[in-house]
Amino acid sequence: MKAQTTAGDDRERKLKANQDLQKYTTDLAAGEVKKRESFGNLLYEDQTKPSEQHGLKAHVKELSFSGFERNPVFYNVGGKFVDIGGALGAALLDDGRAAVAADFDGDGDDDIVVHNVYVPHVVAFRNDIAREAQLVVRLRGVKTNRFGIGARVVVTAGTLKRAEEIRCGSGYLSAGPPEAHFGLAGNLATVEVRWPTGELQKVEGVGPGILVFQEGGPISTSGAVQVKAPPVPVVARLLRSGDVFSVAASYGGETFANRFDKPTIVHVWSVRCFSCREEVLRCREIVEAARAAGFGYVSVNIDGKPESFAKYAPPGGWPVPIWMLKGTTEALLPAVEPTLPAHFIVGTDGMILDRMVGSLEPKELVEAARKAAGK
Amino acid sequence: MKKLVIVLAVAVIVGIAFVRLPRPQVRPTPPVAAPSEIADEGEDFVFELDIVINVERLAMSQFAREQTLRFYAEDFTGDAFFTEGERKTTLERPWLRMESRGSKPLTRAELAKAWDRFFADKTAVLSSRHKVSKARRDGADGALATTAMELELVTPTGRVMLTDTYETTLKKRGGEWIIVAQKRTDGKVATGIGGGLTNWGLEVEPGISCHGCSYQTPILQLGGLAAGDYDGDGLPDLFVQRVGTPVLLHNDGGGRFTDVTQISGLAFASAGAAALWLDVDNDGGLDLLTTALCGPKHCEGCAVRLWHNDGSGHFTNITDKAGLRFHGQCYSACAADIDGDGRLDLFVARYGDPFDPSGQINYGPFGGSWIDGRDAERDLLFVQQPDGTFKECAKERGVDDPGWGLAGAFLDADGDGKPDLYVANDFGPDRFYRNRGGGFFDDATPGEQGGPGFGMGVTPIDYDNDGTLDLYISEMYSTAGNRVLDNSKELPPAISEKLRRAARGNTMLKNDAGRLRDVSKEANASRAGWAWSAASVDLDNDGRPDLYVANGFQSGRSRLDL
Repeated sequence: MKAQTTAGDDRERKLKANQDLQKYTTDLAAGEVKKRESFGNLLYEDQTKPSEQHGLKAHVKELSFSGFERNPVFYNVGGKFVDIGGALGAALLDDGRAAVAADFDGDGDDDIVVHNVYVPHVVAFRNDIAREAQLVVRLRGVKTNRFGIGARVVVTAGTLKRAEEIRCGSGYLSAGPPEAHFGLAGNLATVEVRWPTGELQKVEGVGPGILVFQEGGPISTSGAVQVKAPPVPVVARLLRSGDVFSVAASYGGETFANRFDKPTIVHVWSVRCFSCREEVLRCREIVEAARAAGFGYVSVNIDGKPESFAKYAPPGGWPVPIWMLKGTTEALLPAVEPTLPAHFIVGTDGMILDRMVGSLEPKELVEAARKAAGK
Repeated sequence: MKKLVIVLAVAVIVGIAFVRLPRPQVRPTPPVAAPSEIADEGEDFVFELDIVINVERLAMSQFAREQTLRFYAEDFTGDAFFTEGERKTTLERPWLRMESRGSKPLTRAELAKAWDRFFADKTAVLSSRHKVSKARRDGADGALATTAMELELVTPTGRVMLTDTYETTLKKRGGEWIIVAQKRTDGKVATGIGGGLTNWGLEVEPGISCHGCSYQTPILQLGGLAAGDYDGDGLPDLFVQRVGTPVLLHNDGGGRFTDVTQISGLAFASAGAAALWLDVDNDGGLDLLTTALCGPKHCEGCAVRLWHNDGSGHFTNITDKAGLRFHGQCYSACAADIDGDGRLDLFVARYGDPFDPSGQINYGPFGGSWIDGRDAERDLLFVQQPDGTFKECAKERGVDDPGWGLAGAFLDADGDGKPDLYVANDFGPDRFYRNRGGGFFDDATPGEQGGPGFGMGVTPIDYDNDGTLDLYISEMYSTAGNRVLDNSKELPPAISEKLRRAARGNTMLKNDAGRLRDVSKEANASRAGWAWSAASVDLDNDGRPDLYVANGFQSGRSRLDL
């Protein structure tokens, strides 16, 4: 119960608190507040010793003020909601503030992260509900801002239609990734994008996976993301269109920049993969075909040591420098191997326009690159 | 009158205005009844009754059974939360079963057996709550109440949540309220089958924690999150705003995150509120915008910060270069290209400063208006110029609202291709602005949203799958507040209506071609407590967006509210 106070008392407390907060903010600005207890000690009312409370929920006196409220999970049953939080094990009683949904483990469904005032500070929930993957729509603006913030995406799958916008900031103190996610309930979808410029793009018969719309340009897809896939190391996640190509690689002291002065074919390979070894024997031919078509060519080996691939060099030596993945890569080989060799068609801004898995004839590769880059 | 309004406003939120019989400070964990009576200034009788039954730790014990049965009169007939009625399946999914639970009255003598049967197959009770949502006097020592019960259980086959509503008849005997009759009017059983939402066990240290804080402390409202793939490896990373130093968590896949705050250059100190991942310069890398609470004197220019991503995950502070030096109580931010020039613009919702040195701005219940707060700092709109700098022009563009702004969200509500803006204000009316072109806004707040409310968050969601985005607004639902209002006969209907509106919970606004219509009743997603952020998420990928709502204000040692 709130104690009754006179206006004078109240004002005095506020002034005192004001001084404390000024000191606190000054300290903060100077980077001097290092201990988390510091602020608690500055507060003016209903003091408890923070050190005794360390790791526990704090409180005003003993009572709660709209505390222990269960976070509802409203399940949508055709425009009506039912609260099922308790049945999912997600009805946190903590004092929550921000909440964000995103596919953190890349398994094709949205997980949830909640930020609480007290411990547990951040709670992440893995989604173990969805039985199939969602459709992810990413935009690549040219006239419009780069991620297409503000563009409308309408997906029709089966009898259901749903609108979304590429958004930056919603809810309270929360922001999800700049892309739109849609459950398809096992159907193929028609996807319509309306760019802020008014340009319309449409594609039909799309299944789960990632769909990348380029403003004024091609629409590219990558295959279904398998839900419930085992955790995959970071590099394996590269193998998708619409991602920004990002690899920590080096060559002779230089570091890979991930920015290209022209559309580039990035070749990723390992000596442990038979078709890779076969392919590099013909790599001069591929490099020449790529250059003739106006593409850059970059080759990245993921084995980690130059000596491991030196003996596989084609007759006459390497036609291009072979970049090497930085750090220990042994652990990720089993995860990546099935997808090698891989060719990524990367735009000048680093975004992956398309990817091809398996060894290709130079002609096939260049043709696919042309298509992806809209040449 | 004003005093009465304030008193009731306090009552709406706090649930109790003046308590005649002081409550003991510490409540035991076993089942507890907490009856109390309140009067507004002595005249009419407003009456409050709380039954809090905590069975969590003692569910299966003999002691808990006896303690709980204590509430039921010797001559009791009716239902209790642990008695069963006829079950009917209302919804079936591979991962969820919903059932209704009917009424099957029992006598007092049969209750103990029902208790044992009910708990026989239960492994644990995770939480329980039995609240009185409506109550009126029935004679000198009687009351008729509508009570709501929530119980979260674990069984060997999965989790179960029971949500019941009862018509309850109570009598005061020997100074305690006891239940003499009870009928289950609505019973819902939700059973999770297989995996639900599994806690990853992510551990992040709190920043400077608010132990022992007063509820008037602004940092109690803080803690933002932003998900975005800043390094382009295909997985969304997570930025956690805190009071103190924020945390940047790199997503390593499989639910593993690495703290990369130090090497990313983002180890700065602030009373951190929100953050946004956005590509301000359209170079393909996600830059970071952060907001914070900071007064005019002591952290000039750090209420908004902008960090440029060099593409390798290292961030440089470009706030000054971008012209974003501002102070204030900056809460949520959102971005869109409001004028169609290809450059992102920013909106930042500003609150009031409870510690304003002038003492002019007061925070919370003891100063200022609770239902029409117009004395906060004005919201900010930063329009990006051709040279990449930002110009604050909220006033010129028509969005410099002095309400207690907590959040805003852009959406093209009227389908004209231009982003409109909805702003949630605490202590007063929300605002909806229509973009008339060129990034100039007209106030188009619909009548029903122009009323009082405690707006906390704005979540665009196409809840009815009609192909247009609707809006879900986080507000507050107060059981006690509604109950007090039900019993107050003194208030003029207009005021009463305003207060009722303020305590009724989250709002769903259906978008009919740009006209926002309140459909909260039909949507049935209002009762979310003291709600903050709501995340729109299709949990089972069935094509219909669901909602996860973070709620709760401040939990103390006891479950009884202030």
